[in-house]
Amino acid sequence: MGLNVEQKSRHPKNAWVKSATYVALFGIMGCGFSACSLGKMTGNFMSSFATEHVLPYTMTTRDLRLACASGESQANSLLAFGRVMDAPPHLAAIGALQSAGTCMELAAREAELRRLRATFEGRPTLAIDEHTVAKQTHAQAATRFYAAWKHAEAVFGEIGSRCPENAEDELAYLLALTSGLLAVSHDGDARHAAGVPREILPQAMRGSECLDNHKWWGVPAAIRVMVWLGVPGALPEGVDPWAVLADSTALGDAAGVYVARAFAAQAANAYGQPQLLCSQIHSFGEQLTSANADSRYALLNEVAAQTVWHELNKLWMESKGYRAQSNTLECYWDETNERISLEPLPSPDEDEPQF
Amino acid sequence: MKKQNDFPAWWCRIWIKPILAVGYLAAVLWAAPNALAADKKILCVFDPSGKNGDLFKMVEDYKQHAATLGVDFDLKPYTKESAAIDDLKAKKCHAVAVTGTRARAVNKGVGTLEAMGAIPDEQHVEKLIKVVGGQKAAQFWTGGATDPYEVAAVLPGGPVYLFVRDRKINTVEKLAGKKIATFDNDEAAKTMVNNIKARVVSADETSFASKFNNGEVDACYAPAVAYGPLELKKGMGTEGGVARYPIAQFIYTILIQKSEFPSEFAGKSRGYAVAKFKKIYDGIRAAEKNIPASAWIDIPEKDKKDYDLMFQKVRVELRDKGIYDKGVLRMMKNGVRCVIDKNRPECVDKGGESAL
Repeated sequence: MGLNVEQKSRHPKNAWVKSATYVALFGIMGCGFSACSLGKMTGNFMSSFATEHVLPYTMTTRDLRLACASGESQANSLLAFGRVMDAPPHLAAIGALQSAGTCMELAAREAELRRLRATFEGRPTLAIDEHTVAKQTHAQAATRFYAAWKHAEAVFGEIGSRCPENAEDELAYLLALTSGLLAVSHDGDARHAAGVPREILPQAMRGSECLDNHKWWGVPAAIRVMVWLGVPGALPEGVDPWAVLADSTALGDAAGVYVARAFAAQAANAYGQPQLLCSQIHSFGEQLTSANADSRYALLNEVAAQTVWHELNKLWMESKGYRAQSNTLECYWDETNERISLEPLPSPDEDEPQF
Repeated sequence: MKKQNDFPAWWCRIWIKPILAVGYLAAVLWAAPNALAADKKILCVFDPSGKNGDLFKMVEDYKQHAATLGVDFDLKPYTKESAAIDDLKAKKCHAVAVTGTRARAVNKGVGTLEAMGAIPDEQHVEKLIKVVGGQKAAQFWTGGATDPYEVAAVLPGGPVYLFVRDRKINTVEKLAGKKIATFDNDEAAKTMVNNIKARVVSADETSFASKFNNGEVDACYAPAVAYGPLELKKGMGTEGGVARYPIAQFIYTILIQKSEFPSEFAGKSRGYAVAKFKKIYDGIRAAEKNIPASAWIDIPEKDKKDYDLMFQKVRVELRDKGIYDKGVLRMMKNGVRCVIDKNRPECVDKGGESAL
């Protein structure tokens, strides 16, 4: 028995040593024949592993903070392979840096909410401080999202002038387009501290034409709408951007991937359409509880939910001093007051006596 | 003995009123900031890019400062500037944030700060913002006793540059006969274009860039921040460029309804841009960095003087037309340009009353 234990404990060790020796030998032989190195081989493996397994797997998870932490921990390791390979693993870096940008985005949102709370409590100096923290964090988010965009340019060329050559790269391309929009948006929130060029906006708009709108859950058209609304003169004549956005959210709902809804909620808030924001919040609440959500893209749905939730949290914080309560994705539109309410509106019967 | 028994009663009679008064005062003082916080003022903010735009963000920063002065603003985005002004007049907005050009309809003085060629560089802008925030200039922003509006902030929006499709168009003379995209609502720009004998091609903020990029016009004017998102590099190509001599300074201003705010608020609020100038200008400089160095066209000193003379003629004409305010033009000359360089010809020639 003791022998067996000893054998059992030694056997795996021997196997590991053998395997390592073979790998090293093959590595050295390979390097000798093709002028490569163990570093290059590992880099190639890590790069393809990241794009073929890490990204698709992470997409199925719902833990946004774990995904962002993974991006933060992987980004530098991946990019360091650029020192031993011919070029950094650009394609793999897109996902890692976008995830890492999300960490800063979440932190910036928290700082924004703290600023709103300080304002609500009548503490203007604290609000100014939180505003500064938010701007600094937005700058970090912008830098990371812009880095993801730059790696996409290294893979695909100038975005919008060339499309992905194979279908497998389309998801990374889509992530790059959203990274570009996020980089510009966060840099705006950081008052240009990250120096992100605004020409990304028309490039992302043209890039979105590379992707099939139905296949990608209405997101390409939603990206175009965000640019049309944000850049004066970009809106094509005769096009109703809100109708296009409604079509996009419908496509997303049918496919069970709700990214277009996040764009719609942000657009509604940014362009003074509180009624639309409120209806987005309401209907998104219904979608989240439906069984239609595509589990292969659970992470994207979580990102969308957190984005819409943040818009709602801001409303709560501004009017009540605390964020929306858990499991409550509701607000109410009061046409008489032109205001969003967070409480159910009284029915006319309760206000007016019947005659 | 009787006196001892009555002690609490007379003590109370003497002190109860002051105690109650102090307590009442304390309650009022404690409640005051909260009452203000509850009484939000609607600030209607024009930005063609809504809440995502740089102008809106600039007002978000201002909002934090206003809160320290006891005013809590609720910001409402407007993508149409005329609608914001209309809602101010209809009292749907307690305040608006609009461009100097549009604000001219409400306060001629603040519209004059965008006067053609009056403020050539960042040093002059900084000085201008200081002068604007000072006591001497307050007369231009408060309006008359019956004027319902007051200027509560003047924020620098950055220089407005001339973008040309052919960099050989670098002097006033060479602009003659060229087609320039000119905003319909900008009387000052139309006067300038006519003055240099160029041709006005009607445009607005949604159409000028496409007209420039597709060659319908030879030149257009815009702040540096427009370069990237509107892809003006397409119109410039390899032959064109940006003249490194601003034709005007873009001004963004906050106008309030006097009756809705404490009387001293606007005066204190105007100090905001003075205190935050460097910070605000960092953003403007960052936008300029997006224009590649090779695209800039440096204007020789001799040609700058020709531009200055042309701009001066335009300012006088616009003053005489009643578009620019005479007092504000004089403030920009005597309080800004001649303070920075007293040897400028216009500062040496004291007799030149029309030299503004």
